[in-house]
Amino acid sequence: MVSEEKVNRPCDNTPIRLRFRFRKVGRLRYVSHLELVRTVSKAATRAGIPCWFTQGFNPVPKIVFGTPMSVGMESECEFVELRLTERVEPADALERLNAATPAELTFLEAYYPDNKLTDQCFAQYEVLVRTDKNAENLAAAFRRLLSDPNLTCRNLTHGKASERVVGRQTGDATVVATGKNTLRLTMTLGTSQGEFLNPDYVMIALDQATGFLEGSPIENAYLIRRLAALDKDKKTFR
Amino acid sequence: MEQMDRLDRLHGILKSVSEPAAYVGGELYEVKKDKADVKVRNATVFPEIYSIGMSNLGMRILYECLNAAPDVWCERVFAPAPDMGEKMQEYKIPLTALESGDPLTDFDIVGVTLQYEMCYPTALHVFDLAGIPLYSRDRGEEYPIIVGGGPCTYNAEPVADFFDVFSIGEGEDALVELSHLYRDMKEAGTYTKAAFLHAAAKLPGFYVPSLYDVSYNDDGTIRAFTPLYDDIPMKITKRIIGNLDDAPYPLKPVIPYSETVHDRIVLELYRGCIRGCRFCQAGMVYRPIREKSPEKLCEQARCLYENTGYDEISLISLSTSDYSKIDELTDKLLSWTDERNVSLSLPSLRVDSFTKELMDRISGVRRGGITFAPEAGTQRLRDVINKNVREEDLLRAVGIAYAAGKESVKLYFMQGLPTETHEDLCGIAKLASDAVHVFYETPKEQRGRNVRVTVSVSCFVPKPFTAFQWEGQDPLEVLQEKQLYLKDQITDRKVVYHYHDAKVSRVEAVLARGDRRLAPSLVLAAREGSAYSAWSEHFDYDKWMDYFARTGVDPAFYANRTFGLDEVLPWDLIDCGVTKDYLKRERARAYAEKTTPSCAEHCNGCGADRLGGNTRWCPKKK
Repeated sequence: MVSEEKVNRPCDNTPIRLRFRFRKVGRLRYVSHLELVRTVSKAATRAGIPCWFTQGFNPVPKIVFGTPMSVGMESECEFVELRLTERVEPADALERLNAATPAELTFLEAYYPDNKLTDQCFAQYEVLVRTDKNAENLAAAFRRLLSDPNLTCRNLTHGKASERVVGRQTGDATVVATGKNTLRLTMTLGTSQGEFLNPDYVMIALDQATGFLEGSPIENAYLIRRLAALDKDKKTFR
Repeated sequence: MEQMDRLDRLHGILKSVSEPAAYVGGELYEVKKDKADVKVRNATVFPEIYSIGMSNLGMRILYECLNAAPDVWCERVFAPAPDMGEKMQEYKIPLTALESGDPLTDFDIVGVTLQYEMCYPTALHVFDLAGIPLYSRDRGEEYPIIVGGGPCTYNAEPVADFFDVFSIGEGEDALVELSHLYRDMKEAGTYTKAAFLHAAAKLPGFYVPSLYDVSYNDDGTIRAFTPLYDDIPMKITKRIIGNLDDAPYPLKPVIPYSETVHDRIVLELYRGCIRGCRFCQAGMVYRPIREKSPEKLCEQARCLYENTGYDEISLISLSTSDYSKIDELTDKLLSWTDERNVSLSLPSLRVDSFTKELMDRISGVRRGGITFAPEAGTQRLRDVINKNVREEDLLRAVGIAYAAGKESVKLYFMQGLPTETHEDLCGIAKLASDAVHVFYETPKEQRGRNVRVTVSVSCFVPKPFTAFQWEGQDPLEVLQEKQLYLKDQITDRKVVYHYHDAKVSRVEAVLARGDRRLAPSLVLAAREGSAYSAWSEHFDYDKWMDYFARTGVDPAFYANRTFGLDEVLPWDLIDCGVTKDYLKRERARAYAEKTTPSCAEHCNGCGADRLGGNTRWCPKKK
């Protein structure tokens, strides 16, 4: 039975938002977005942060994440906002949240934001590629393909034909060979609604054009890492 | 370097499998130790996928107990999901433990928990993925000692040839002792696999199958078990924890990122069961009844809440409403859970001890339905199985649930029980229909809008250490005919009928009452596409019949034959506390349609009080 106390809890329409920036690297890259939501929700309870609960029949701490990433990608700048019932010292909340989460999930800063999470419009990515082919030649091929506004990623969904033009956003991408068999690609892609482009689609498009993954002894020969979040003017989003 | 290469290959495939987080570890509260500091490396294998295995309380308890020993490091290993298993074989990546990322072959002792007979091939598949030879006799000194544990070890004969040793009963102390025996023999320089196993066989509660010879009669039944040494026991008595309040309990369980099947705090109220249902193995093998105190439970719940952040506490036991201090416990818990949005859930409720007061205490209202298990459709058959539940109890309990707003009720039944007739099956349909009618008799302002009664029917599987251990299972065709017959009897549109695949139950019956001659068929199952037989979508009955046929096994001999009362049973080597005489008495009472009162009412002399412990009901111990 839902107690009257629960139903009649004071309903504050403007709970306080506390934003955290965190790093998602190492093994944590295999943790899916949904799993992360669960993890942070429980961590907030463990940390004793005064969370504001949703007002439905199944109250849960209200948590809002920034732009999600695909499983397998790393990030230096992920954002999550907790809704609080009272103001707390951000540094204290940061310390407690870090103590309540696995070592690899590191919250880097906490603050009361003056903008919205949806104000983030772009993200900067780097992709580290390992190849058994000549890195210089492959880098040159990548540069040529990325500057083509019609570069397209095909067959995105299994069984159904679907495609996405990725070249429109890759004009500014840079590619450098960092060793005989390694190269580094950087690019800035949209994260806002309608403009969101998954960096993996760019890599799939490159593979479809060059076949650089073929014959690779491992299936996953590149690692995508989100380096920075940017606002609509491509300035650092915080 | 070798490890780097292996990890590299592992990470290479993780992006293309489902739920990759299950294969990398790194969760909150995982235990890491320095290899240089530990003397015994222990791996606990749960032969199921991560999301199922991580929910298992037994595994959490053993992880806690073993890691509490400073010189032992226990790590977790799960079976990969089929997609991951295929990739591992394709890329030749051995199965590794989550904490260290080391392959199973690096460990000293590998414990495998056997929860369900259909997981036997999964366990063998795990050995294959780890590069460990399946048969104990083929494993030299370089391989880990393989220990089996869990409920299936009450008759582990079908897998006896694959395991070096079985831990019988509760493993909290036992597995630490085994690890220390290993350490001491290594340090003294007296360790060889053979010497270790001989020493282990002398420890209480350890069964070393290779040290017992089995001979057979001409009719295929067992003639005798013969110990190979004079100094090992003729019968292995299970271990129990005397006082559960003093036993280690995992207060910082490893918290998975992903959602597992039981994603909540688990409080174990007591072990054993006062009821004596004649088909139920758990009700016999976990005796004697030992309860934890409400104070201890409340303290552990509070600690678990603070450490885990879960918003639900599940009070578990074989029959939660039979816990003698259930009101006191729920009062204590509710004093702090409600205001923190933490709900209590009580699975395993019995209709006769289910009250409105209890219903009010469980805030599981919003979480859908409630489940009861009348098990049989008529009073006669319920008396035969000693369920001791009356129809009016059930309808009263259902009424309480409706009045609290529940709209969906699930009723568990079993079919194929000894002495069952079509009248008993009709009784199931009638009982379900009556349960629907109670809804319409419930005042409108109390009840929900709509009602659904789900009838879920499983097939009777005779299990070792039950009063029905000797009974043959109905032939497959009979089981299937009964399922369809019941389907025709259920005409109420508010009743939903589900039934288990009778073919699975038949194979389960073969394995449950099987002996060592089944081993070759299990190897075929593990290697020829039936490794995940516990999953209905991977179970293929015809394949199983083929494995049995090719290895000379007659499934009817094990599943459908009525075993002789004086026959040597494959599990006669094991003493689970409850005596064979008691089970024979119970069997006779079943056929006389006589019930036996619960331990709370009267001691029936099952024999389990011999094992001692801080028992709740055994009057002989008072």
